[in-house]
Amino acid sequence: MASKVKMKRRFGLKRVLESSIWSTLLFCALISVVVLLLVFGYLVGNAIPFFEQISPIQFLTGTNWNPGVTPPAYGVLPLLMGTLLVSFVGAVIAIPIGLGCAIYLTEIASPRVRRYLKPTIEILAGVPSVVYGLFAALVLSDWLAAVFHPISRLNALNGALILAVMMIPILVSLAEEAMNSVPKSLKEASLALGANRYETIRRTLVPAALPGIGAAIGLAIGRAVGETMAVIMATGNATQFTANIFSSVRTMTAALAIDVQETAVATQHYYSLFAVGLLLFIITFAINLIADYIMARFKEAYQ
Amino acid sequence: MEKKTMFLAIAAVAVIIVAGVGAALLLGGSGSEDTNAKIVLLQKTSSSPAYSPLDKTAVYNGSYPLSRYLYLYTDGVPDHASSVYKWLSYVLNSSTGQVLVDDAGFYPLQPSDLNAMKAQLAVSNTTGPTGDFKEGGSTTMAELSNLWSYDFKNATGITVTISLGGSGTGIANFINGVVDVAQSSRAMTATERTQAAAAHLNVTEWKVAVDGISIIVNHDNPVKVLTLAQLEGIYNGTYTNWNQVGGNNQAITLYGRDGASGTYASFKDLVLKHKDNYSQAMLQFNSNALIVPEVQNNAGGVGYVGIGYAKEASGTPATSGLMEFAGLIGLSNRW
Repeated sequence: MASKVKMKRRFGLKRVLESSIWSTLLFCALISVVVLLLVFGYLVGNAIPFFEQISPIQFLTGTNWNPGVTPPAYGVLPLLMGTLLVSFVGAVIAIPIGLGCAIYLTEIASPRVRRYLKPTIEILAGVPSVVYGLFAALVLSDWLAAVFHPISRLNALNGALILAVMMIPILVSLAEEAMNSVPKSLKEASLALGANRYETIRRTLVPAALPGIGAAIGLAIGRAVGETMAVIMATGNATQFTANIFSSVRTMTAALAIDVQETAVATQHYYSLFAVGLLLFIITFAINLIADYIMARFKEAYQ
Repeated sequence: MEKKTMFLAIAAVAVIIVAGVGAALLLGGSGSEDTNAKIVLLQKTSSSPAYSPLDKTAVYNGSYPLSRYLYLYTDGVPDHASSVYKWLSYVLNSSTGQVLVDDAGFYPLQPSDLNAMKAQLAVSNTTGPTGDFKEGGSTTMAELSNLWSYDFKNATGITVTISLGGSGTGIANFINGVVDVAQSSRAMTATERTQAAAAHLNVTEWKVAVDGISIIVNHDNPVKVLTLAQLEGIYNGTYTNWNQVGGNNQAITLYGRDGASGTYASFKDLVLKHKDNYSQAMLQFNSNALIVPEVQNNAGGVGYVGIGYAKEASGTPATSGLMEFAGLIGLSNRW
């Protein structure tokens, strides 16, 4: 009788159900990792035939991207420069605005203002990129042309500005969350020691929230680097290698989207697109790693 | 968050967007009325006469250097029961399809070409799809094929779904079986014909209209005539300032199509004969309609577009608003 009860406990229905639920959840967790590895493997696998014919040095240091002509040129520097110009200039514009907005929302705004402002900003994060792109191509470029008189109406600054607009909601949401999770005791202690509100924010709260803010910045830059639709419509897609922010550039994402449509499968041009994709993947991965590292370091110092 | 707050937030964003778009349309709209682009006359050499793409005879007999055909490609000549046959006989009929060619701003086929196509249609060698079918490719032909498809549907009830993406994309889709008919502003290359043959397609080429690729410049640009050599120099980056070709001291800003476009390829074949690369500084767009506002707004701008778009850009009535709409449809269809 006792052994029967024991067996029921070991192999009973409840036990089986429970372990099957754990296995399903483990399976879900593994799927995301596996898919990521498969994507990476597919990129590398299709980039290798390209690197067998064109040396990586030539790819990484060439300043001419022109795969459609004979002989084709596969220098990725113009595309890399395009991505860097729009993403990092966009980040330089977006970070102060986003952080300022987050600080305002957490520390300075009255609860009523916060109740209406916060959801509005979060809805802006949901606007599709193509709408932003249309705005940049038709309206923002006119405004910039009126102020700066650039060489070309669709240029890197146009792309950088619209990316900044797209990055701000992400920055505000995440930075605000990071600052809200700083323990209230820290703020109260600082105020009790005689610091005014500005000094508290600057010297205690923001440094304490730095891991979260660093993650927010990393995520925002990651999104900017990967943004395709808005920059295709905003930057004019010229394949020149230039650091002039008022001239037209082509980002890596735009190059992929434009060329993928009419490239025949298994040609050198086709494999070169995977090489560009691999470079993009590595860059985004590196940005995430750096953000993680910064997060970890500051976590030690302040918590 | 509470319902009331959410609705207020959505309302606030909606108001901002509508106000912004309204302001942009009001300000932008009034601006573009006075800044029409100008069509440039082209001459083969500096001593030959200059022709405009608006000159029908010049385009037909090739005196205008950038004349080209617009094509449809099908798999064989379909039999009378097929909807593709009905589509082709509609398109090649001078009282139905060819009239709409005029509306779209292109030139209808000359009688000799039209009769040759009709003769090709008379000898069928395959069965084709019956019922609705898909066509895709050239954005130059976007408005034209949309006009045809609408009229065709009213006449026969058959729906022809038009997708865009450029001639190269359309031909690639035709080879891969994604569309039944390809529309293209350039002829299929030998490589593409080989690929089609490998996919067991009997490629049949149909000329359906005549186009003159038009060069447009900004309203304020005094340059009226260019030779082919000057045009080549402008587009391969040799000339960078308008004062090198008889204009003002103004940097040249190049606008063109991207690699998937038939117009990109036709222009390259017709103009860039010696150094066969476009300049790296050329801004690349995926449809004709996007080039027009850029040239209108940039003092040093020059672009090449199909003649329907050039007519509209210079204020000569074609079927105005539809052109830009077709361009925007092209944009959204591609992604």
